[in-house]
This record gives sequence, structure tokens and C-alpha cells, in this order.
Amino acid sequence: MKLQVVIDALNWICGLGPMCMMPIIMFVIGICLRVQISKLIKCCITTGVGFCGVNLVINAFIAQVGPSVQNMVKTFGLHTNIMDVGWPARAAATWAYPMAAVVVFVVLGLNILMLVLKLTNCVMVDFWSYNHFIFCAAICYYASGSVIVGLICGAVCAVVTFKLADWTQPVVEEAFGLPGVSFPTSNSISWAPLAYLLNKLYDKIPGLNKLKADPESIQKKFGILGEPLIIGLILGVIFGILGGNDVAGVMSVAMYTAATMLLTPKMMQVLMEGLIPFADAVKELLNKKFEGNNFHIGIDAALTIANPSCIAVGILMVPTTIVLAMVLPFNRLLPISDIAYQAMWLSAYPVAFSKGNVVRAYISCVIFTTIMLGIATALAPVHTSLAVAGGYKLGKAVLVSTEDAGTHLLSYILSLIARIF
Amino acid sequence: MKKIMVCCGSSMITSTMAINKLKQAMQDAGIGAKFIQCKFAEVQGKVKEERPDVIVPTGALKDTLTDDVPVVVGTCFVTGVGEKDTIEKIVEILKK
Repeated sequence: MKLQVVIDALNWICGLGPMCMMPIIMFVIGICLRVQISKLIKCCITTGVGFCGVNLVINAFIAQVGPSVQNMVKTFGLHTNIMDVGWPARAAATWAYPMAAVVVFVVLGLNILMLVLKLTNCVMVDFWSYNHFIFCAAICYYASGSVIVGLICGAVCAVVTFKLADWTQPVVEEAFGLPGVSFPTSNSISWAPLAYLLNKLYDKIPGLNKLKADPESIQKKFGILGEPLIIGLILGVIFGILGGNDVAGVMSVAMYTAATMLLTPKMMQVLMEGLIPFADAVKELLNKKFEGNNFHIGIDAALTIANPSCIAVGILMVPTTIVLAMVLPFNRLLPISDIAYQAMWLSAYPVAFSKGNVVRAYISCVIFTTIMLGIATALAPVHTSLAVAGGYKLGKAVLVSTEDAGTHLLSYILSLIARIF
Repeated sequence: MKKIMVCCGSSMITSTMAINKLKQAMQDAGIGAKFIQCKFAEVQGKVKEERPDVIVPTGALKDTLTDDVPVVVGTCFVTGVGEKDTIEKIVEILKK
């Protein structure tokens, strides 16, 4: 009887949608982490507003640009009928996964346990990046239908990620000039072993083992073309024209695509502002418990993108990714929103292992992107369920995915295993 | 009014964390500051338009692209280790 009340209450909260559910869940976590009440209330509401903002932008994008993309796909018989809604949408929907809070506590506990048992030196203080483990738990839940299997997969993903962070720490410290820091974000670090092997292979190929290119001149040459706003506008014009719109229609599709590129990050900033006290509370808890020692601090791999080689490879990969998406027969994803960033993330480990060699990193990234497109295509049904649960209004028969989802190599492998259960 | 440019990979996550810390620090130091938030890839272009007094990247950004604007690496605002020293460095540059 009593249990039923609890289950009903939880179902009711989940049914509210992330905009209202997240503030409630965060309030509870905030009390557990002893965040100051007045600050906590403001932050919970800010996060809810951030979710509202991301949903508004993505829903407008799907409503305005979606029909043109569908038209284009139909007219030209393209195989790329899955829309890329961008990683902020992926991350926001991930935080809205009803078990998100539980995953955070499981991973946090696991990290502390591993530190105490000296199984890792990685102190994962980046609260935001816990969304990678939640994403893993969520897709494994959708693959297996079991919450428990999902949780276990999330935990396995975290353990492997921490171990990989230990292994790569000296390499990334040297390559990116950030002492005492590692990058346990599973979407980039799961590629590290492959990047390592490929780099070994390049050493053995005559000619290739001597090639070099200057990253800064590449960055300077492309300049404004590398900016998301411009990429969005150009892609929008192409979709508009190929989707068979009149001039007014083309302009509107172009502006909405550019708007999505520019506005989703702004909405994400609001969402992030709300999450800051949690980030700080987690940081303080871990930093206080594990001070001094040989530990390295785990943070978002986004910091590696300051490296000029990563930026150069990222820019070169924008046109390359479009060509790959069109040519590869197994790919069904039409890269849009993520195209401006994704390769910069993927390039982190190729750049680190090759000591900033743009030619090598570029070749590795082409290989990674090929795999990534396959995974993004395979994850589309799961991704669509997650997006619908996160409050996005998708038309009938619309499949969405993200390039970002495709970079979660480890989570994808785990979800394949989870499917057996 | 001083201009502080804070940048990170996506201009969303870690730069927001750094700005949050810096806002408080600037208030404590009595410096009126305006923040510009952008991506690493945008720094080169924005430096020319905005002429900030200092650039605080959350990753190790090279200062070859910053037109002689001083760079203070702000990774500490994400890791939580060594925030005080970094804030002192930034305040020193702004008070010059």
C-alpha cells in the first residue's frame, strides 16, 4: 500500500516532463549535498528554465527545418533521413532521464570507492560530464528494458572510463599543457585505444611517417567559415533549396538553422548556470576528501579543443563529414547541428598520441567519423525515444539522432551487450 | 570597465563555470568587469573586435593568436585547484 503511493508519486513527477521534474529532483539532491537553500531554489528554477529554452529552440528547429529536410530526402532519394538535433539536445534529454540522479550517486560512490582502494587516480569533479554515464545507462535501459541492466552498464562505463583516464593522463598532460588533469569523458576517451594503435601504424607507413602540416595556417585560412553561425546558414540554404522551397522559404529555413546553431549554446549556458552549485558541491566533496597525493583531476575533454591542431582538424572535418555522410551506404544520419564541433572532440586523442601532427590526426578522424556515423545511425531509434521522453515534439515517423551519440563508442558496445538481457 | 574574455571548447559548459567564479572575484576586488563568452575557435576573430584586457581560457590556449592580449589559463575554475593564485594574477593584470 505504502509502496504504491511512492511509485505513484514518482510516476507523477516523471510525467511532469523535464522542465518541472528536474527542479524537483535537483532540489532533493541539493539538500543531500548541503547546498544553501536560497541559492538552491534559484538554481533549480534556472535549470528548469534552461530546459525550457533548449526545448523551445529544438522544437522550433524540427518544426521549421524538418519538412524541408524530409522533402529533400524524398525528392533526391537520399538515404540520410535521420535528423541531427545536436549534442545540447542529447545532453539535456539525458539529464531528463528519470534515473539520472541515481546514476550520479552510483558513479560518484564508485569513484570514491576506486580512489580509496587505489584502483584509480582519477578524481572526477566535473558534475556536468556525468551526463555521459547517464546517457550510457539510458540507452542500455532502452536496449534491454531493464533499469538495473541500465545502471550496471552506466557503472561499467564509468569504471572503464576512469581506467582509460589513468592510462592516457601522462600523454594528454604533455600534449595539451594542463598539469594534473585528465579527461574521463567517455565519448572522447573510448577512442583512445584505437587512436594509440593507429598512431603506431602510421609510424610504420613510409612517407606518412614524415608528413606534417601547420595547424595555425589552416585555422587562419578558413577563418569565419569555421564558425557555427556561418556553417548553419550555409547548410540551411542548401536544405532550403534542395527541399523545394520558394525564396522566402529558403531564407526562413536558413535563418532557423543558423538560429539553432547560435541559440542552443545560449540556452545551454542558462541550464549550466543552474547546475553550477552542484558542480561546486561535488568538486568540494571530492577535493576535500582526496587532497595532495598523486591524483589527477578529471574534467570535460572540451578543454583539449584549445589546441590549434584540434581546431584545424575540426575545421577540415566539416566538409569531410558531409561527404562521408553522403557516400557511406550504411549511414542514414544527415549531419547538421553537431558538425561544427564534433570532430574537434574526436581529434583529442589522435592529436595527443601523434604530438599535434595534423595529417595523422585527420586520417584517424576520418576513420573515427566513419564508425561514428554507423553508431549514430544504429542508435537513432533509442535516441528518438530518449528525445521524446525529454519533451521534444517530433512529427510522425521522424527519427532523430546526433553525431555526438555516435561518438559514444563504449556506451554503444555496452548497449549491444545489454540487448541480450 | 574592464573586458574579460572567457573561452572554452563549446562556449557553454566550462566557460560558464569560470565566469560564475570570476564575477564574484571581480566584485570582491572592486573591479567593474564585462564578460565576453566564446569558443576557442572564435578567439582569433573576437580579439580584434572586442579588444579585451585579459583572456581566460579554460584550456591551454596558445598566445600566438591573441594579438598580445595577456592570457591567464583558468583551468583551475573547473578543477577547483589553485583558484586563488589565478584570480590574483588576473586582478594584477586588470589593475595595471
